[in-house]
Amino acid sequence: MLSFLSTPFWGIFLTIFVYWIGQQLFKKFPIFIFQPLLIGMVLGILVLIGLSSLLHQPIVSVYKQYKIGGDLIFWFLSPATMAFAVPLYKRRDLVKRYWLRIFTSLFVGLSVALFIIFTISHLFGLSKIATIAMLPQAATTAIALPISSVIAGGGQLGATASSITAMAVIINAVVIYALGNQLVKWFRLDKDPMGLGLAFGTAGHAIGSAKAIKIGEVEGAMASISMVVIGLIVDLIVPTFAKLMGLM
Amino acid sequence: MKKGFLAMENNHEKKAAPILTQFLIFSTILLVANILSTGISLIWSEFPVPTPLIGLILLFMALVSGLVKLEQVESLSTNLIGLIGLLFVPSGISLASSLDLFKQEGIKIIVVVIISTVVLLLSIAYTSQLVAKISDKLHHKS
Repeated sequence: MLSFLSTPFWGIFLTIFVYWIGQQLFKKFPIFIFQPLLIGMVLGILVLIGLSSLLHQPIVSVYKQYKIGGDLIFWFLSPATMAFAVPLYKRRDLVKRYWLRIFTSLFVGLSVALFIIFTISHLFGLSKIATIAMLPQAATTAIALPISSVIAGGGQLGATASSITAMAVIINAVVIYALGNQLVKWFRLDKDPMGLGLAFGTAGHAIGSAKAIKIGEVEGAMASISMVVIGLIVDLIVPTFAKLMGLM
Repeated sequence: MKKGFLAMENNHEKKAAPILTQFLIFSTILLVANILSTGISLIWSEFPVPTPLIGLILLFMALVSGLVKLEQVESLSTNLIGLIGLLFVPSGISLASSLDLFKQEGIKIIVVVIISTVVLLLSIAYTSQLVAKISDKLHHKS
């Protein structure tokens, strides 16, 4: 009777259902903690934990069953990431005019941030695998996860590192969504609309870009450009950085 | 910022290409991107270049070169980007497979991520301000 659990239908249904609940909650109570993505993730994990204790099965095997359908939805993240070429193309005038400034700001900014993030992870005493997982978080999921996995050495370790990175990317977005406006005020970021946009796209990914669009047009355009360009820069420098720091 | 900074290209509304054509363009580019990604990983195993990243660059180049027209990819792109929140859910749920590590370090990890977000935001924003100042100075000199 429970054989449906090992078909793709189960994982697909659960993914869509928990996200839908998240959206409904967010419509009713538009506060940051009800981010559909965050709610979907937490609800999904809770359902799996519940199932695991109900069926007396380890959580890992319950997750493996979910993953059959989950992977089918996850796969679409590849074309969806690729699709960001279209907004980038529509803004190619800005890219052409400011490419040097965009690239330098993101390259230098990310390098500085990597050192700080590495130091903080060290100070908090994070394990090696968790430290690795912290490094690619500036990139969006479809780019960050494979990088995280390769640095951690692939296999089971790679899967662990990329699941932590996935969570990090989601939390990034939630933090920017919740505190973005306050941070802009506290640190006077609004005097440089371009920098503000680049920073929102990097730190907050797709949700950060959506937030930046609400602040202004320049900010929004820069945020969506930076989301794409930072993926490239993360790919260029994070493996090198991990090597330098002896993580790889 | 000067006026005309955000001048969008003149919106020539063209009919979207049939969905099958859009699917074909996407899947062709992804296939080529995947072959390139595998090729790079064979030569340079420590520097992964994820398939979607190569795909993004290829699609951008195809659009710039005119090989692919905007209306041949635009509506599928918009739909996929609109769904991106949902597409993230399975990777979030994948945490269920690492609950052991999360039980030991979860709170620390979350605190580090929250700090990291602010670090990323500030370091990019301030670097950009600095770069703007430097380039302004260079322009004044010349």
